[in-house]
Amino acid sequence: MLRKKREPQPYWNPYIVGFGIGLLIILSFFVTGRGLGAVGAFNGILATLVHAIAPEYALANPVYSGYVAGVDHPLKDWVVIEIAGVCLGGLLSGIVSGRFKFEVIKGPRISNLSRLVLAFSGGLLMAFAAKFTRGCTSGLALSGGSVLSPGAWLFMISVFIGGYAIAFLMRKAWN
Amino acid sequence: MKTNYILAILALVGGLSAAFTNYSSRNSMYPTWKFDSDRIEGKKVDLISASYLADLLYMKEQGFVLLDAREEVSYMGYHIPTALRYEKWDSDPGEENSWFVLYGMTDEKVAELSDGLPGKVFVLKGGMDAWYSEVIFPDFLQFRVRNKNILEQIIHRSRYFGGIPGHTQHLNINVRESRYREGC
Amino acid sequence: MELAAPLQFNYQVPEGILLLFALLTGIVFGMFLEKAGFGNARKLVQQFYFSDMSMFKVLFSAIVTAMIGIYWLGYLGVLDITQIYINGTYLWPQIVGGILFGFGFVICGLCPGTSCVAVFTGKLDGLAVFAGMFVGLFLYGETEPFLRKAINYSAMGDVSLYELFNMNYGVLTFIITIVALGAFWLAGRVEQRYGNSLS
Repeated sequence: MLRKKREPQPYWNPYIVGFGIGLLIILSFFVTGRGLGAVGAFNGILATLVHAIAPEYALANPVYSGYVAGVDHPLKDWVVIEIAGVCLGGLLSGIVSGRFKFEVIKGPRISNLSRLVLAFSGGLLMAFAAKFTRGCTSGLALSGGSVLSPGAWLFMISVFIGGYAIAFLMRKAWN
Repeated sequence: MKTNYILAILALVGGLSAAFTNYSSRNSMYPTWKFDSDRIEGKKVDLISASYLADLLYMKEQGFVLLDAREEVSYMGYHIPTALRYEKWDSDPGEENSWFVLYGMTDEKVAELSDGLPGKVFVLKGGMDAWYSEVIFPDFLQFRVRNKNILEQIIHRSRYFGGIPGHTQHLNINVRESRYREGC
Repeated sequence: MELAAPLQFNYQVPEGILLLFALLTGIVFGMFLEKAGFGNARKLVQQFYFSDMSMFKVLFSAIVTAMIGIYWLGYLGVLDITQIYINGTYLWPQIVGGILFGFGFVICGLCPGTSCVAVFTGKLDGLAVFAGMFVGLFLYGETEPFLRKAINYSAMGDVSLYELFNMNYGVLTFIITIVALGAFWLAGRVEQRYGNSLS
């Protein structure tokens, strides 16, 4: 029984995507008074896990207690639900656009294992840094940038500086 | 490619016209929100603003009960008009579905008391201090108001509650303080 | 009836509605990210090799759109800008953290939001990023007491860029728009020169 494989569709014009995301952010501010977010959701999920394993520790540690203290369902949180939506939206779009595929995205010059190790390390560094900056590109750069928060603009500039700085070292991984 | 030009023109028009308009800086604007919810001492609490509470009382809204959670002495000295003492509150079995507004000197102690009430409870954000600085003695050195009508309403309302508009009460109620968890 | 926004602070919006809105917003956001191709780490990273400026284009066109929209909704009085959340500014943590975030970004090729899109379009490297992020957050949780001072250093509260520069909100909006449009034009030229974008 063969499943019909969709052909990968071309990507959308980035300006249209940006315009659409911009409208989404406006709508989000209109309804909730704040924009989007991502790191908060991951932190909330982690806090829920920690709380399930060691409740007293979770309540004592200020990094987790904000998410689990005094709430019956810590996952019933705006950012967590939003991230669930992002996953769902990505899934649907990926299927419809023919881009759903189990694979490892990497440059041609490194191995799968190296790529996965780098992905893990990069993720670790990003999440750790995101706690310092109080946000990531979705929450801080996009939403904060739209309301002209200086921190958001500084963050964005720094991200680009850091990215370009390390791109040379990483070129073997990507090109 | 044509869509790019359309978007660019939209942006240009939107941005260019922005250069010719301005509106007051946000920082010291008179608080205009009504409801909010926040975590006080780790507990999720619903909040109501002093300004909105004043509007409700001014319009003689009947559907809620206003409770004062401070000591007797303070209550006797001055309490928000129509407020009853929290300790003396005895729910009348006939009254259902009313909601409560609870206030004290500070928000933290009051938040704990909200569990003891049979109905939805809103804590007055900023307590008595907010009542003084936003309603009774609105300090126009500190709060700026967007337009003249609102200014007149605030002054009128202040007098209605026996206050003195423009009197200087130095209290900084930052409406936006950690309303959400930090970061995203 | 006069409409006041943000709706959440001026009306009694049931929590269920807000969460439903969160879900829908997330779905549309995830869809947009995937349509732009950001589930593919290699495409995202090409930004830093000058061959595909999509990340810059999407990011800044979103910011410019939202900035103009929020400005005008605020001007028309539909949106009360004194009630919206403005991210706090922490000067040094955000600069240094931003650079580190940039490092991490190019090392793994995804940002927290796009990593979700990657995972849910089958990309296994996205899973590795997920795992790394959770471990990173956990590490932060363990070391937080030692970092507390550093992380709160040079906090400036929730100021706005135009307050900081003591300029007109509208004028700043205009300047950013013009600069962004110029940058977009430049990005197009850079792509023409160096690009063979993975499409």
